[in-house]
Amino acid sequence: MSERLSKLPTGRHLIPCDFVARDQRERMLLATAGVVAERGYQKTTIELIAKTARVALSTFYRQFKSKEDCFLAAFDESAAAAAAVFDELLDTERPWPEQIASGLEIFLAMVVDEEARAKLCLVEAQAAGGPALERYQAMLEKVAPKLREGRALNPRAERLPDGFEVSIAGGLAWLVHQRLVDERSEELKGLLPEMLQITLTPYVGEAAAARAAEARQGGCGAR
Amino acid sequence: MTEAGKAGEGEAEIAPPIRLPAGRHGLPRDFVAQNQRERILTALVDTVAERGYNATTVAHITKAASVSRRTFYEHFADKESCFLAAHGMVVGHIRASIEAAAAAFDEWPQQVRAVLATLLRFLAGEPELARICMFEPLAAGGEIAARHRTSMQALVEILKAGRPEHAGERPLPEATEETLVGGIVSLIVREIAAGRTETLEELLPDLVELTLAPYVGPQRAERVARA
Repeated sequence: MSERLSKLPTGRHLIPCDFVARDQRERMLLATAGVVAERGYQKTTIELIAKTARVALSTFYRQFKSKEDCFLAAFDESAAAAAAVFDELLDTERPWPEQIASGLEIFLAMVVDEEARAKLCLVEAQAAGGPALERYQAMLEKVAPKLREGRALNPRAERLPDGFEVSIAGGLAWLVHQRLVDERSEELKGLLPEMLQITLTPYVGEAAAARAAEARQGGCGAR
Repeated sequence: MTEAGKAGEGEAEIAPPIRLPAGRHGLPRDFVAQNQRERILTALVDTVAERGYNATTVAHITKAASVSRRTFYEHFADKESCFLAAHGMVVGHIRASIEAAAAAFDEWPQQVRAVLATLLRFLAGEPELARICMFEPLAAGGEIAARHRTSMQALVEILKAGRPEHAGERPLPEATEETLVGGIVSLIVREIAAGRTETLEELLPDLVELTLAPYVGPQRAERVARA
């Protein structure tokens, strides 16, 4: 993080304006994740974001209307980055249970590698007012269709409750949420087999789900 | 924080605020204090329902309760401890009523159904209190969010009691209950956020089914849920 927060030289230089603005914006979004993850959204101030990003307050206000505005931009940026990772790494040609296994593995690895952004999206987004909560919920809804594909494997599929996939997504997010909040992030990677078993069971049955989970017992990294 | 302790179980009714006559009135001091405290809590509930926790100020609360700032601070250290007291009352009430609902049945699946039905009925009937116990703690963060997580633990314990029902070869994953509670809460919050608090009871069959399925299998879960 310190590397990305490093400042461009001040004063006259030949670096184009929009590059400077983009670099500043990136630093501010990164700083927002860091400050929010450490102090929580409520105790985060614009001054602190600006200070951490090493920009002037006026620079902050040139790009963002308010703390909330900046927070939402940071959420959107993180969510888009995560979506891009999924797009790149998830092989949608593979059988559905394997896609779910890889998806969860990628998800947990991202949470561990980018804990500040994970806290921003999974914990603080629920604490940052209406629009942020809407985004959080939209994120859960976005996961639902991928889970829903599993209904094709289940003869009882059409009888599963309608909100079923959202509840799974919400439940998995809650597992991660609890560990991020309680500073138990070292447990996260070890959650993969259980998360996988819980997610697959309703679609493929308990025995097949348990086998898939056992295959991932080594935790993340056994790709 | 000490306030929430006082507010523990039992005193769940939040009465509409009745303003006592000002000045000398010969009412016992304790009675006045109790009445003021209830008025403040009622005012907090109304104000938070209208504005959300973060936008609520002590000034809003004192105005709605028709008490002075000084009176407020005689009862509560700050907005957070006032909220925690209200939250503690609501959660205490819910806990007592779901325990009573569960006690009316011998079989665990029926108990779970009764617990969820009671929870949803309470939340649907008291939209302001639903906000206090399910929705606003997410927005409040800090100690309030921590208290919220603790109160969710009661549901986890109720579900854990269903483990002997599970007939599979392997035990259920450790995280089963936590995931289920997270899922239940996210469906409830989704309804509240969409302004559908009053129709929360429609969720009951779905919640019962998805909660029971890991323990008793999908067929039996469906039968209990749709009974």
